[in-house]
Amino acid sequence: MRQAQVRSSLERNGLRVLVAVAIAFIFTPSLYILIISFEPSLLPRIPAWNEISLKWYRELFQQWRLPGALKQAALDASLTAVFTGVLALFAGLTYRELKNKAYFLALLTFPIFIPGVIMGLSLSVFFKLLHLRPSLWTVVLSHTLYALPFATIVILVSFSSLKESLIEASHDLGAGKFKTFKDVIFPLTRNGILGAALFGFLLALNEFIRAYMVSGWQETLSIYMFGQMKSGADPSIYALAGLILSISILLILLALLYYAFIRKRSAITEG
Amino acid sequence: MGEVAREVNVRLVDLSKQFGKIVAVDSLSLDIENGEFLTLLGPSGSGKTTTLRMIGGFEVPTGGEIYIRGKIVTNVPPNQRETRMVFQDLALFPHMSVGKNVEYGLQFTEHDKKKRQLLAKNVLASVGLEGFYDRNVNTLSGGQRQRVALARALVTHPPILLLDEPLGALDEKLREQTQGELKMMHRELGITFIMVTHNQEEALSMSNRVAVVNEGRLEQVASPEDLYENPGTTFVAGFVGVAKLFEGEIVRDSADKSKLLSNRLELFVPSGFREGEEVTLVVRPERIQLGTAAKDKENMFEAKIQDILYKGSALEYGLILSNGEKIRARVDPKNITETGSIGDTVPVGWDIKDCKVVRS
Repeated sequence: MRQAQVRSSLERNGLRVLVAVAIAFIFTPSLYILIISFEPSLLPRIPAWNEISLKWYRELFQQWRLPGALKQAALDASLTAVFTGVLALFAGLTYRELKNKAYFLALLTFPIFIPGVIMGLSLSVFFKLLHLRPSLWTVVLSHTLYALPFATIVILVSFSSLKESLIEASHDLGAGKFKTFKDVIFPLTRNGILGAALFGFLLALNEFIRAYMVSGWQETLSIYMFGQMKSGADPSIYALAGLILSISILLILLALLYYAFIRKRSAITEG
Repeated sequence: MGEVAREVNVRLVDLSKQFGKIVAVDSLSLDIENGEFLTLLGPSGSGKTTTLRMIGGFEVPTGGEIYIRGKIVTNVPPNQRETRMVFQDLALFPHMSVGKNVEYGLQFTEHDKKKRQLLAKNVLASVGLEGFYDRNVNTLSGGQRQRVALARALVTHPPILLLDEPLGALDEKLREQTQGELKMMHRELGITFIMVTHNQEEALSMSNRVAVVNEGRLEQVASPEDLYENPGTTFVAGFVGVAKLFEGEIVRDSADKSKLLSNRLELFVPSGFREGEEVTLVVRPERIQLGTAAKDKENMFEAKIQDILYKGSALEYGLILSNGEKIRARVDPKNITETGSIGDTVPVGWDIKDCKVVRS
């Protein structure tokens, strides 16, 4: 009861204003891009009410190779998600068994500290040494390497809440290692594994620098966008940005609705 | 008197466990009989939990062997052992219902789903949790969760049940109740119970035998009465029950008694010790007399009353002896004529037969 009165209403309102300003600062650039994407002329400006048009969105699908690039990006991201998820899972399982946990963790999170360009360049050289032709697979491998530190941390957080005694209890009752994984470990760390895979998916999608260095003839979406930005303002690019932003917001809203639904359901079935 | 040879259910031979440089269990040998309730009692870090875990298969010994029902199991993993453990934190699977938790161990031997459910429901009823099959384990009270853990371990009818500090998380009232219930369960099931605790009162009241463990070594294993009346080592004397210990050297031995010199006090103990031998005299507070009752005792000293505690059925006195040592006496208020007050100097004493001597 006492905690609510620690802050004066002036403080509370001041904090609210601060948070609003921070959110505005973060989202205004993206929202601006979304708004000017509806401007039919070649000038990047806020459209008048009666001039709002989906012209550049149509351009995206008709003139440009958007579907193809999207397909490549989706494939790359999905494969990276699978590789990242699986590797992170193994990392999580191994971490528990190790004596020198710190060294293992350092090894897995080390790539974070390597600047993107250097990573991309060295991977490119590395693949050449192995006589691996640049392809979708080299891109996926590189993206997996990039995403693994983040995915590892997500997995370790998830695994840390898994009490060792639960695994011991499962063994005590007769279950072998695989059954214990299936019945005890996986259900309790499923969210962490999904989170790790999701990290892989999102980072791959957004990542462009490394792909630029090692990919061959397959262009991914981000390289495409970068190319467009540099070559001159074709307003389709704003439509593309607006599209990505809209989908992101939609997905977040869906996720929030899903969680609200889940919470409501569990509240009803509780005890 | 003829003794029935009890079958040995669990045999520990020179069992040792080292964690790096730390020796947790040091050459511990113990035979646990079929159907007995044996408690491993000791302070924190004494190695009792490590020993229990080795019996269950959760730690691999670094030395020695473990035999369960005659078969060597030292390196056998827990899922292939006949033991079942109730873990200290209970380890109930949070993502499964009560029923599914209890059934977990059955899925390897009973493949009929309906039968499994029936067995689970039966065992739940036997621990007083009838109707709890579909409940969420996370909504249960501590006592209820413990019963689920017990049901889960017992549903497969194991010959040996391991209990790791089962009463630790319970409050006083519940602890007493559960003590009785566990004892009754043991009697009804007739299987071997091996319990670990640091609470000596618990150990003494529940067990057939108690194995006192300290610093990885077995100090003494005996029935609760034996342990209390005839402590085998100084540690056991001090750890099991309350006692005053006088450590010193035998200065004279004669036919009927010996004299012990401890910290400037002369004490009389039973005969049979060599001069120069280092021993410890152990005397329990309830054997120490005060006032006029103390005057004719073989060991008698003057002591000053420091505090008096009223403990319901007894009065507990804290006194200081002439050499500065503290001593506690427990007296039945009905048996004394004068209670004395703080600051009074009164005689305290006990006979040789009221104390024990332990070789250091």
